[in-house]
Amino acid sequence: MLTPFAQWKTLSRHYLLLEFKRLDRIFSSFLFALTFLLIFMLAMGQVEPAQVIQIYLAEAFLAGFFALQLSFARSLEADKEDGVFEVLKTLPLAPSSWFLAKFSSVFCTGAALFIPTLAIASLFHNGTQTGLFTWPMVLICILALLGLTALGVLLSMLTLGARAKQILYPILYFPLTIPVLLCALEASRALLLKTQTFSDLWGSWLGLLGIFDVVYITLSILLFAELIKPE
Amino acid sequence: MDRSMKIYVPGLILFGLMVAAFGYALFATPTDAAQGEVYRVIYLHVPSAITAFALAYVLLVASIWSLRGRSVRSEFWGRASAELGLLFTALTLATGSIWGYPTWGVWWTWDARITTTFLLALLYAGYLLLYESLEQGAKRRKACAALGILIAVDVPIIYKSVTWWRTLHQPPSIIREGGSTMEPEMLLALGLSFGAVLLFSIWLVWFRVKVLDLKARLDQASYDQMEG
Repeated sequence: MLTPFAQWKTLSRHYLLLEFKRLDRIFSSFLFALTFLLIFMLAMGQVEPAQVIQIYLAEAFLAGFFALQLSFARSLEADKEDGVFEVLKTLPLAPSSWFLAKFSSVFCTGAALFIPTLAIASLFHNGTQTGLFTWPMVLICILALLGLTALGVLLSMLTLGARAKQILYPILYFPLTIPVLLCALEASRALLLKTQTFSDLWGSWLGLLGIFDVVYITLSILLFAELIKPE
Repeated sequence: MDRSMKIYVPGLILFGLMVAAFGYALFATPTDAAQGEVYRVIYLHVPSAITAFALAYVLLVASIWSLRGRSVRSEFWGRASAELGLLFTALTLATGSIWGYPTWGVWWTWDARITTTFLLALLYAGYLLLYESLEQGAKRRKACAALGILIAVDVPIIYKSVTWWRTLHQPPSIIREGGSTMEPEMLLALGLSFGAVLLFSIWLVWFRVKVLDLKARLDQASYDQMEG
């Protein structure tokens, strides 16, 4: 029998292939983010240099958040359609390996959506401000993505088979992800406005973001195991 | 007295206690020097808010019981606490608005605590939606239990939001360093109102569980009759 790590590796590879085979799903979410950014830019017009950072963060995070929500809500669709989910349930798999494999693949999809969205949004403001999209910003995005992905996969699992899934998913996803989003936004703003250094942020917003990530990932692993446990 | 009427007795007594506590708060406590009479809404606002938060922990216990014990009754406890939780969260937001307009000049503002309390209302509503949109059985029991646990995690965030984020909302004035800033009579009235509201809400949850249980039995009986 495979070790939990080997199970995770095999499943991750399978899920990643599945995610990138369906590039249309990623592309449609990315197109949504791009449209969102364009509309925002057209509506805002010429932005005062002092407001650029706030506007950049608002539009980039909004576009990214909604694109991720669209993508996460469909994260278990392929498993359900092909019956993979029911087959996996019958195999002697470690639930944590299964969850982490799904989590890893959805995280990669999320990163492929979220990071380019932030980069493109910064390009739109290139004329007025430089240095919006930096490596510390990428790290904040990755930290935010960890918590968002854990909740995204868990909620996708919770609402699997629910009659009102289209309404339920945003109702639950939005309030549960607010702490993660707020921490990421506050950290990004403090960083870009230079009110706090990156190392100082670990003692405040980034530390809090890290705590939320750990709580949400741990809870998701535990609850996922309960959800797939046979009766 | 008819046996079926006996279950209403504790509820009526607790309702009477609640009315008495509100009466004391309205007529026996002094007027606030800064806010005037409008401050009295806190005797309903604060107990409702704490009860709404406390019900998230009833939901947590019911959810853990659901995952561990696999009892249908645990599902009823979860649903009843979410229903009452939604009611008390709505009451908290409504009374907060009534207090906010004369004090802040607005009915609503996207302040940290108000926003996170609104999110709690959304979560309770989401729980009830999830409950209704899944067929009765193991899937519903487990999915609702998982969500119940997630909701309970949100409550400390709401409580700490006032100190973490920029906020218009008053900082804690009862449990704080250096002791409470409230007058002893006001504190007593608040304590009485809180106790009465909490006890009445517990009775309401218990009563709702009874109703849900009875409904499930009736459904089962009518199903059995159809089968027979």
